[in-house]
Amino acid sequence: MVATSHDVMPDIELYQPADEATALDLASRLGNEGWLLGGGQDTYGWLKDRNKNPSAMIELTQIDAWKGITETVDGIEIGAVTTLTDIARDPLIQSRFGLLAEAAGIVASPQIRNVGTLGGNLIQDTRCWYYRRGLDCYRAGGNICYADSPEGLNREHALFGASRCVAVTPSDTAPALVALDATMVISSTSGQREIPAQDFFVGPDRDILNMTVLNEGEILTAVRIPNTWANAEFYFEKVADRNVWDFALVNVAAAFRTSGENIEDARIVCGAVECVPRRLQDVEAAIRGRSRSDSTANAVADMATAGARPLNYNNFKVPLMQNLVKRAIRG
Amino acid sequence: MVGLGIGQGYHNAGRSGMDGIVMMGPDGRLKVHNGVGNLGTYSYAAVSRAAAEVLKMPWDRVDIITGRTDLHLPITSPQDGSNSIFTNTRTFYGAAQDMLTKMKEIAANDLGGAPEDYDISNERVHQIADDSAGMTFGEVAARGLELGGKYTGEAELPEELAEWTQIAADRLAGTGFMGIFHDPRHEGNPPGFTVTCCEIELDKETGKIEIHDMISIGEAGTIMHPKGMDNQLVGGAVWGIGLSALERHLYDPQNGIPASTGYWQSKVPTYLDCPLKIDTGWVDLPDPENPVGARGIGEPSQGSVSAALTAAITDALDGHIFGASPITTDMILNHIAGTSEESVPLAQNNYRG
Amino acid sequence: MGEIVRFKRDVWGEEVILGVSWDLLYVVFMAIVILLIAHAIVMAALAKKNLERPTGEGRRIVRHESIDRWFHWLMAASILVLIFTGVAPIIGLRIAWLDIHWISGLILTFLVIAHIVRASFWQDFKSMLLMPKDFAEPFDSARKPGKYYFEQKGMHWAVTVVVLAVIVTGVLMFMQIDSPFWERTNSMPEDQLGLVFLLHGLSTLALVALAATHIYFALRPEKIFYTRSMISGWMSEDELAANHDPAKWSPKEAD
Repeated sequence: MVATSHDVMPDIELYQPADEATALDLASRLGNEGWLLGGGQDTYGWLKDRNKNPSAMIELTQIDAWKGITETVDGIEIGAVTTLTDIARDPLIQSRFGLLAEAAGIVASPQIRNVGTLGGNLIQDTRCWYYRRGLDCYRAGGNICYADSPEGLNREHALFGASRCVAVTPSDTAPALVALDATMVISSTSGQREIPAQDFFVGPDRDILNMTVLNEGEILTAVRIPNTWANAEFYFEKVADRNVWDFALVNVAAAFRTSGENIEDARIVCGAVECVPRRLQDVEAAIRGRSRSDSTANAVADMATAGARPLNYNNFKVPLMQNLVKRAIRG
Repeated sequence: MVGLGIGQGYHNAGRSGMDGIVMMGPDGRLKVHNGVGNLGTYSYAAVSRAAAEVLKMPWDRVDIITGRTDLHLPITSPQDGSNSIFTNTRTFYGAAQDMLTKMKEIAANDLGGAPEDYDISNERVHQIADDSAGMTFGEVAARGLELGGKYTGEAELPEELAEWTQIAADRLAGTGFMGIFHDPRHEGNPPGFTVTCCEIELDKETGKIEIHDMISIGEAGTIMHPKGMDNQLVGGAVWGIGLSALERHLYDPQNGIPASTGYWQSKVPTYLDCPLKIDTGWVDLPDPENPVGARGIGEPSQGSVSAALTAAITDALDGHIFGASPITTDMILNHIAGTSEESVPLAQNNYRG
Repeated sequence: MGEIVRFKRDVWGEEVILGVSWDLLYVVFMAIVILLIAHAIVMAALAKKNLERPTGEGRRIVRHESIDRWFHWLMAASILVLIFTGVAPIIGLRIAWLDIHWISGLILTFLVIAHIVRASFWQDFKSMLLMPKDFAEPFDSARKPGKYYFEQKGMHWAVTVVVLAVIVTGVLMFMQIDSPFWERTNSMPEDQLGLVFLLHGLSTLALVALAATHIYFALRPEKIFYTRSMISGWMSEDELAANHDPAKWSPKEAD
């Protein structure tokens, strides 16, 4: 459908539960019809353009149990409706998991970070402009991809893992959480399940309609970060067209444990190159035991993008991704 | 990599052939009937000042009648093409001169002597030889209303008034003391010039540019409003940064659908894409074709900034010319990595060499 | 529910066919299961009157040659894989199904082509032909068939039509995605693409029904010796005599 702007909110039933049980009940009862509303920064564009038309919204921001940052026995737990500003400014996260503070602090713009939530940033839909335009493409349940065609404008699209759909993850915090070995806490009326951050995101080969493993009636309620990478050496960088209010062309989140000169272990994760945050395990393995230096970085640059399949207009992401990985390793 | 660039911007910055109307009632307030739009620069106010200056009136005694055609506005140039200040100071200056002439005629008629024996100050028309022999503007306007005819726009209107102005004048006729003017064609082409110098740092690994230093100097005749002039230069610079580095204009070629929709996809520059400070300056030489010496400056600074920034990027890349604008991160990276050959350049509807 | 065809908007906002409504998958599946259960119950009720079955003992004759058995089972496997991988995303299984699907599809396509060639030139093509006089066969217990009886021929030709339909539409769909052989092009107009999806979906539904029916009959006790013959190649002379007319089919003896 051709994108149309409308100046009023569509007719939507708004639920504002104040406690967990009510929210989970609503999510279970409303299923696909109950749109989960955090800060609304992904939501309102869809609604304004009438490209998604939920009949009901469940606003989660009044549930205190899903907000805030708490220290746990083996790390920290962040409520999914904690704002990105709160995360970026939290002293505990800044001191222990600076990687996440940095990633959260560079999302979009200050205004968006003030209302945008961690959960929303993680489960936001892809920014493929064809899809966002409201076209009935694969991801919208159709039978075609407009971005991956000989003339498709796919400059922002995937290098890896494309399967009919070539959209990428737009999140800045997702690569950071994958790098920190975080766990996603998913709640529903039937209980809680925990999913490693890396397995939380789903590519189009497995599910072309959804970007996460969240099923109908499930809500991402918290993110747990173990102390595994606490106070490690971190590197985060996001390259976007604009320095504010833009999505990454490529971003990189990395964590290093060194002993003396040498890297003992590392996590390197890139965003915006695949539908899911792409962890570079080969590179991580290759740099173990080596120093954080130019020579190490240069040695693994090609490995970082091995298997990349550029589309018409996104060849530049190959050198960009290599360069960001090199910068992360050099520190 | 550091790159330096210098750019020059030019736009013809003024028109003529428009009309001006000013009105006054027995309250002695000057009403400037002004059809100039407002794109946020408030130049409709700046151009009205020309009329206030001619009549030596304090600004708080002036009303600007604007915003709706049914308020009887003369034809004025649209607020485009850097022309507002030049074009519309001419018309309001002329209309106010007409009112001044009529004021002196009325005073001479009532108080004796010739119109040339009169001058104005403190909202009074008075004899040059004897300050006390005079009338307030309000009295003159009231007298004008009694006399009617050309003083209230009921007779002797300028012959070449545009049809639009004619309608406005007809409706205003008899309702107040009127000054009305048709601006004849001016000579030559009034230019607005800017020159911009900038220094950038280009990151060869990310393809990102950062503007370290930028200065734009304008040549726009007499500067009517220094703050406005500064805003024009800085605003044009932001525009030029978008034009050179960010704002692509794209269509999907297979389906013909526009891709640059909304503020996100249009990539309008944000604060952090612009230098922290953009220095400005101006020459301030009066323009001979304008009664207050002014010329426009809306477009030129966009052009000079765009040219300077493009040149600086070229300089940072050892002279490589892309022949297209804007020069975006992907183009820079493709060039540095040597993939520009195998990667299809994104077909932009912006300027392509 | 209630709709057969799903529609979508094309890039210009015009309504075009998107494909079959997958609600029908549940309808077809349930319908076929109910029918087969009903058949099983009726057969069980009639079973008491049935005489003893022909024995598998004694001399063996060849029903299916080894190569044809291979063809059959490979085709069966690929069709089952195709059905499973095709249905998985519809019923919400998150597996990477597409590559397996098209690879199986290609395998099936080559097997079908090879089978057509072999059946046309090396096998007794006539034995599978469904002639007008064959339609009397189910109503006349005195008439015994040649190599294949009426229902087998019917099943074969139904499967043939449906499989050819899925193959043709499947290949057209395969050409619309990136593969090791080409890059996708979006060259097919969206309304035509929708029609292809619809036909692929409809033939899939038919194939699900046919496959279920085929498997059911293959497992029925009175027919299981046909399944054995598809595995081991032989049937007994007793089974032959009880079910087939030697005048119309005279197979050679098995080794």
